[in-house]
Formats: sequence, C-alpha cells, structure tokens
Amino acid sequence: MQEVVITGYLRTAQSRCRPNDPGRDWLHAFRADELLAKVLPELVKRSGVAAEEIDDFIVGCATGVGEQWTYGGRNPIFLANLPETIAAKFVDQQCGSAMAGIHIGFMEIATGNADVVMVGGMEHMTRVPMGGTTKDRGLVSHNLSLYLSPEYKHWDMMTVTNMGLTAEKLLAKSGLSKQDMDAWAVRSHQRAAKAQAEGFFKDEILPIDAPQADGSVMSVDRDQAVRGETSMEDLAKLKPAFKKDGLVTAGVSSPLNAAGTGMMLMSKERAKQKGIKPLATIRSIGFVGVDPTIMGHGPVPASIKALDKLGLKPQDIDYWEINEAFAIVALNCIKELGLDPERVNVMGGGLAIGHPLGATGNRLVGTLARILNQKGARWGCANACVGGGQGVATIIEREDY
Amino acid sequence: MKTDYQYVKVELSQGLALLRMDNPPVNQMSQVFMGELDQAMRGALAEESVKAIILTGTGSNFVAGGDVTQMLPVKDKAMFVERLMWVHSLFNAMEQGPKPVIAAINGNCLGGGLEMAMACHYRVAVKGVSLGLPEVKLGLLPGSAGTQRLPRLIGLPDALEYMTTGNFMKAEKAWSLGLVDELATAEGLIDTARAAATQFLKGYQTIKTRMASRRFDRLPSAAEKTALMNFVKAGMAKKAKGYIAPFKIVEAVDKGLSMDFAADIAREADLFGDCVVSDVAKNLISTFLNERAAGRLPRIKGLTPAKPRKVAMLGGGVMGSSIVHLLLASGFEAVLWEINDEALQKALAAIKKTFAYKLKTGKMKPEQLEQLIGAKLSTTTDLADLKDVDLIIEAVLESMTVKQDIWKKLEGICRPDVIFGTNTSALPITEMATVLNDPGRMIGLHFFNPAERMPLLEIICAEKTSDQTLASSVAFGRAIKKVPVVVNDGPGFYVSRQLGGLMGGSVYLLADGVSGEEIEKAMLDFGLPMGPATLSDLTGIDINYHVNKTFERRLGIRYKVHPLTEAIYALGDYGRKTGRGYFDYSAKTPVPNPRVTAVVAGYLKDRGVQARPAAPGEIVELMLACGINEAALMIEEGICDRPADMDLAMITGTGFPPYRGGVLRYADTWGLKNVYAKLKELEKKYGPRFAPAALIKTMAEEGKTFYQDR
Repeated sequence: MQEVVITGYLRTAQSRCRPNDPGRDWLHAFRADELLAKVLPELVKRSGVAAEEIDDFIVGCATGVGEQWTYGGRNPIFLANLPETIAAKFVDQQCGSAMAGIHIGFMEIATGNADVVMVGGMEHMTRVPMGGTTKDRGLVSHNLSLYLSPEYKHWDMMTVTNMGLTAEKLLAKSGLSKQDMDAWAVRSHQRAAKAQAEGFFKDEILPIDAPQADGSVMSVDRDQAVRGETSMEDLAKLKPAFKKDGLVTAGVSSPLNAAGTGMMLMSKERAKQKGIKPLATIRSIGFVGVDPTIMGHGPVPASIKALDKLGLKPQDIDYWEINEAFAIVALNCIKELGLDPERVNVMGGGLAIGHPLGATGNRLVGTLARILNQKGARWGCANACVGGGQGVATIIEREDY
Repeated sequence: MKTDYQYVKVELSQGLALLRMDNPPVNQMSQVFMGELDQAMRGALAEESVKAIILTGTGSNFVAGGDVTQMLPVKDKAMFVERLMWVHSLFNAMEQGPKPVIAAINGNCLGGGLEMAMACHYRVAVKGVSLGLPEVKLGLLPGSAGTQRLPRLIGLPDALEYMTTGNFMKAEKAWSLGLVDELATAEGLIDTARAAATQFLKGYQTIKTRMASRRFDRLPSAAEKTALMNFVKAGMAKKAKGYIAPFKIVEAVDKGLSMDFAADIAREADLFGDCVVSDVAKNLISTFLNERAAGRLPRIKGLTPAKPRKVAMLGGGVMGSSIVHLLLASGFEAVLWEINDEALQKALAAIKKTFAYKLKTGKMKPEQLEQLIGAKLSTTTDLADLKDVDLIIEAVLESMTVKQDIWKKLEGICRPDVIFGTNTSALPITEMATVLNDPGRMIGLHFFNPAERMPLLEIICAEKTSDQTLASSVAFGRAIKKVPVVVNDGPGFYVSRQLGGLMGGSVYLLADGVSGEEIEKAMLDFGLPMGPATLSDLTGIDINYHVNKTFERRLGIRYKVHPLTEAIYALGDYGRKTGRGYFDYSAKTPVPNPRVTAVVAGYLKDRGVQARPAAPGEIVELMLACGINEAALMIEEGICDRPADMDLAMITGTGFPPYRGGVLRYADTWGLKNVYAKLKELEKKYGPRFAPAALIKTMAEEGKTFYQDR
C-alpha cells in the first residue's frame, strides 16, 4: 500500500445562490464547470506537479444534469486546457460527491494504480437549482413508484427527499433545542467572519473577476454567505422553513451556494521525489448508509468506521470539520461522539461558508488540512451527511515531511 | 365580469375561464381584437370566482401573428414603441399572475401569437401545429418579448436559430425543446389544458417557477454567451448582408437576457422600432402582402376557376421534366407526351433525376418515388391519348410551326374547356394562338428553372386569352404553390425583358473603360445574386445575343445591339456551356477570360478610350436607371400595370434582393426626379438606350410614385 498525501487545495469563493433572483449571486454569470476550470490550472501550478503527471481526475457534483453534465469529467479538463492524457470520471454521492472523489483517489493511489490524482468538485445552485426548474423540466425525476406504491411506503420518500424534514426528525431525536441550533449558527458566522477578516481563507480561494447584474465586474474573493453580524435575536425571528410546526429555519440551514473546488492527491513517494511538502496524509476513510429520513445522522457512524480502522477514539482527533448542512447535524455529531465543540469547525462551517453540495468535500478536507497546519496539530477528521441517507468521513494526519 | 365580446368568446365553468380568441380568418392581432382580449384577460384575472385561465384560438389558428399592414405606414418610432409597450403590459400582467394562464395551442401559433403563449405559464399544443417567430422574414424582430422569452425557455442557440431564420417548428419539436409542455390531440386539447390548470391549483406546479421572464436555467454563462455571439456575428455579417432585423435580433439577445427583464424588453422594443421604420422592413412587408395579392386581378374577380386534376406535359426536356416533378409533388396526375419512345425514356430518366435531392436528403425513399411515378405518371407518344386531360402545358422545341402544329391537332382532340398553356420564353403567344378556332383558351405559363424550386409562375395573357382561361390559370398557379404574376404578351414578356433592362447597361460601362470585375462586384454588393457577366455566362452569351437581336428587330433603335456585345459574341465563347464566356471556368475558381479581356481592350484602344475606375454608386445608378426605364416602357406598352406584381416577379423569379423591394420600389425610394435626371444624363453620354420613357418624365414632373402606399 502506498501512503497518500494531499499536496494542494484550492477553490473559488462560494457565492450565495438565488435561483429566483439570479442577479444577486456574485457568480451567476459562470457555469459550475467554468468555475472549476478556473481553479484547476492554478491548483496544478501550486501543487508543484506537472499536469502530464496526473493520472486521473475525479469530479464530484450532486446534480450532474443540464449544464452540470460533464461528459464523464472530460469537459472541465477541456475547459481548463489540461492534457488529454488525464483520465476522468464523474462521481455523484450527493453532498458527499467531492469527498467520494477523494476516497476514490485515495484508493487508486494506495493500491498503486495511480500516483497523482486530482479531485474536483462543482455545483451551481442558482443555475441548476435543487427542485424548481430542474425538477419541473424533468432533469431530475424521482421514480414515482417510490412515492406511490405501497411496497415503498416504508421509505417515506416525502421526508427522504426533503432535507429540512430530515433535519427536523434528527432534531427531535437528538433532544437538542432551537436555541442550541441558533447559537451554533451565530457561532458559525462569527468564526467564519473572523477567519475572513484575519485572511485565513486567502490561501485557499482563487479570486475570480465576475460580471455582475449591474454590468460591473467584481473580483469575487470571499464567501458570499458569511454574515458576522448575525445574532440570536435575528435568528429567533425566522419562521420554520420546512414545516408549519417545525423548528428548523433558514438561519440554521446551509445556504444555497456555487463553487468550484479542487484538491491534489499524490503518493507520498512521488511527493518526496519531487520535493513537495504535503499538507497532510490521508489515513483512513469511512462511508456508511443510514436511515434516509434522518440522513443527518450519517457522519456519526461514518466517522466511527474511519476511526476504528486506525484504532483511534473520537477524542484523539485534534480538529473536526463537520459539514453544517444543518446546525443540528454538527450538534448531533458532537453530542453522539462526545466531542469538544471548541475542536469543531473552528473557522466556521457550512452555515456561513456555504455548502455547494457536491463541491463541499474538498472544502471540508482542504480547510481541515490547512487548520492542522496553522495550529500545528496532528489528527483531523472531516465528515458530511449525505442526502438519501449516507455519511462520509476522512481522517488525515499532519506529519513532519 | 364582462363576457360578451365580439372577438373573444368567454366561457366560465368550475372556476375556469376559457378565453377563445375568434378573429377570423387567422386570429390576427389587430388593434380591436387585442383591445378586447386585454379587457377579457384582465377581467378574468380580477374576477374572484376565476381560479385559472385557459387561452385558446379557433379553427386552425391560435394566433397567426400581428397585423403587419399596421406597420407599413409607421414613420414615428417613438410613438410606435409606446404602443408596443401596451402589448407588453398585457403579456406581463398575464405572466405575473396571480392566476395560472394555460395556453391551449389549437393551431398556428406564430409571431405575436407565440409571444403571447410564452407569457402563459403552461403550453399545451395539438400535435402537428406550427409554432414560430417568423418576424425576421418581414424585416422585423419578435417585438413582444419574443427575443427575451424564447431563449429563456429553449436556450440561446436554438432560440437564435429560430428567430434569425424565421423557420417554423412543429408542436412535437417545440415539445422536445421545452417550449411546449404537453402535446394533445385536437379533441383532447381543452381537457389537457384543464388538467394542467388543476396541477397549478393543487400546487404541483407554481406560477413562480413557470414564468418565462424569471427563467434562468437555460441561459448561457457569460463566457458561453460571448463565444456564441462572436460565432453568430461572424457568420451573419455575410449571410444577412443588406438586412437589418437579424442583426437587431442578435443585439437584443446580446445586450438582453439580463437580470432586468423590464430593461430587456424596453431595449427590444427600441430595436423593433428601428426595424419598423426601416425601408428594408417596409419592402419585405410589401413583398409579403404583394405575394398574397398576386394574380388577384379585377378582370377575373367572381369567376369560378376550373380545378384540373389530370395535366398533360408536352416535352420532357429540362423544363418539361422539372414541371412534371412539380405536378407530381403537388398531387396532380401527369401525362407526359414526347415525340418518340427514345425521347420518352430520356425524359423519364430526367424526371427521376430531378428527385435526386429529395432522395439524397432522405425526404423521399426510392420506393416512394417509384410508387408515385407508377401511380400518377403515364406516358405517351400519341396526342390522341390526351383526350381526357384537364390542362395542357407545352414545352417542346422553340419553333412556332412545331408548336402551332401540335396545338392545332390538340384542338381536335381535347375538350373545349381545356386550357392550352405554353411555356415558351421567346415566341409571341398571340401569334401562336392564331391557329386555334378558340384563341381564348391559350395562355402563357412561363416557369423558371428549376420549376420545382423557383417560386414564380409568370402568366402571359395573349391578346385573345379569355378571362376564364386566366382565372383558371391563376388558380392552377396557386395550386402548385407558385406566386402567379400576370402580364401581357410582348417580347421577353415581363421578367426576361426586365432582367435584360436591368443588366443591359453594363456593356456601356465596359465600353467606357470600366472594368467588368468592378461591375460584378457593385451589383453583388447591391444584393443581386450575380452580376451581369456571371448571369450571361450562365444563360449563354449566344442565347442573350439572339434575344437582344429579337428586341432590336421588334422594339427598334433603342435596343440596337452594342458593337462591343457584337464583338464579344463573335468570339464564340458562349459561357459555362463552352467552358468560357466572360469568365474562364477551366480552373476551380472562375477567372476573367483573357480572350474577352483582349476584345474589350482592343475595342477601347480603337476608340481611344482609357480604362478608368468607377465608384460602385455610379455603376448601380446606371444599371438601375436602365432597369427602371425598361419597367416604365413596359407599363407604357401595356405589358404590365401592377408595380407590386412586377416587383414581386423580379424578387421571386430572378433573386432581386427582397430587402430592396423590387425595381419600382427602388425607383420610388430613389425618387423619380432623380431617376429622370440620371437617365437624361446617361442618354446624353451613351445614347438612346437610356432615353427616359415618357412615363418617367411625367412622373418626375408631377412628383408621382409607382406605389401609393407610403
């Protein structure tokens, strides 16, 4: 088995998507594949590898329909004008897509089938929204039998396909409160705003000159959804977003976002040969299926699976990146695994930074690797819940290379 | 709410308002009709008991478009744009809700009709009906938000294609593009629309996600748009030369499709205004209206035309085989007569060859052709076999005696009501008819090669052609989907002589030291499909020469063949058929024939004329002045008297640029005073060929125009 290291991580800023008011999305004028294609060449450059050395390119996206169909991952390669010799594949594990890309790349390198793998993530929730026109036009079309036939009734597809309802169910099960969620959301925004102000994200965001609705051009270099001024009072005013008597509001749900994200994986051996200093080493991965009506529970067993492989306990991990698809997902994970909240999402999480579905995996693992380096820490675990009832996790270790 | 309107039938039931547009014959968006629709629609939107609205049409039309006659006289752009915004206000009100509006597209859904349907939240269409935005064909753009809604619904590449070509699409295609949401049978249309309305009322569909103006998901990214626009603009510069609307359409989408729909439609309205007041649009609209009016002569009004079913074709040469193709394709039964079996076999092969394109493109299968020929075409070498045909078209050898001999025999064979149509292009038809006991049954049916594709049928009345013969011939022209233009007998009839007049000035320029290439280029740039030399090479320099000699003989000194033309003819290089004429065709791209160049140089040298450059304007003015003069002379001679038909004949028969409106429209635009002055100047310089017709002089003096419509 080869050891696998992360030698590069770069992304666009994550804009805030508004399918019903596209002009307010800073990145509305770009397709997701274009955002990704802007990131890739710069990622190659910063990683210190020659593009010709890349064996495979794996791109994750949760809604690979319409203009997010990538021709088996080739279009982003073409758009970035990278060498034709790079193989490509498209991965859909919904919100775990880019992390699934990392997992596959990890396995390809670990098993000796590749030495350099580039992982991409892309999602544009203004241009290819969840539901709305995407559903109306049949671009995404669940099998009706799942909703209508008695033999599938037990799946409860109405809940399964509505992430907000799964969050409500998880909240009820966890015994946590609306205040807990609101407080976590305020914390997330404050941490992200602080990290933004201190320039933490500068090294992971590639600024993009983006045409705006008013005809101007803006250099988009920060995540659009971060609102440091968010308060408990503001959040208390919000109405439930998913059901009348619910507690989950838009304020404790991740916003809609657009972004392109990229990560470079290499065998430690190759990195050493080339004199490249890795960000971290991938030590183990975990993926599980859970009850799809409480998909937010997924990160817990996924993380345990990854921890068990290394013989580690949750408390051995120095820093966590738990995807805040909803505040309750992170809170539940903290509670179930008995984590110290001060070790979780220290630079803010998805509620503020955003969650561009299939592109998120790179952001979680990449930001985590950068946190370990900044803090001089050793172990990190990134995880995410996945629509449809799954969990994914990745454990990385920062070493002295 | 008010429900009694003249043009909109309103039915209310179970919370649904069904608005049935009923403005015969085609549900054109006339002002009165739109006024009523506005009231009915706003009434339904306001009426509390109405929860959803279904909009449909009557007969074979949803709405077949705007009323273009209203646009011809528009000169004030600002006022027009203001009126246009009123239509937007109605469409926007429909789209903005608060009630779902379902378009039940029962028939033709064109131009403003499609724009109306696109402002609805859901479109159900009957299979097979046509949808489209044909405005560009009239020099206009889809000005009721068509340029802004269509790309939002079907994506920019397809939208541009349909808007810049004006092509229609069938409902099935519209469905696959996403323009139509559901297909239905004619009987099931309203039920399907009702079911769709229910979907909205139950909340399965929402107005918000169905508003075209809010759609964003099919619009290109900024980079894609730039790439597409650059590509389209590059292609169009050449393809749409002389036209305005295609460029305005591109501008409307290029600057539009933004986040500000109101600004997008205001810009579109402004660009539409540019089109409406342009000469190009007025010329194209006139041509369109002329096409509809062609052949509707007062002298045949009220007559019932015969409806021929079985048509005899005499002669299976180039024209004959091509006309047989046309007859078969138009559903007629055809009988082909030839002089002997060998000629018949040759003709049959020639007929099959005319179908080669349809076979190659898969529009027809070989077995379908065999079946068609087997079922609908018979052949004979015996004129007696033609006793049961309803109409005869003749295209045999161009010899008066041969033709007259055949007609005489046929008069003894055919029923007395059978029309004798001759496709002669040079012989006097009045003279040809003298062999008949009933010369009233003879008429000229002048087809243009290839007959199955060229849209013009020039119908020539001989002196004694009866009104009934003419009425039936015009109706036959319509039945074979031709534009029937009626003229009187005379050398070259109308089209050939007019074309001769339009091209005839070039030799005077050549003899004055102007280069042939410059003349070709100037006329191409003017918009003609080819210049005089290229055309001459195609038709044959010898043929042209003989035609000109006939003109000289029959029409006098004005038409005396120019000595330089004589010299070029004497060379024996007759054009493409001999491998060289004005141009040498031995290489891949034709080059000027050095032998002709030498003849011209010698001519100039002998007369001490220096080669000289000429501005394109000088060339075009001379050529057009000569052409306009020829038209005026023909009007004076009684060959023709309808400017609209004359212009239409040149556009459909010779490829005169439609956006110029025709020879006479061009004269009006130029001004008869200027035409007269130019002719006087040219007469002085080049002689009697350019002597102004008396009609031109009178019109110039009295400030008249050929057309009275603007």
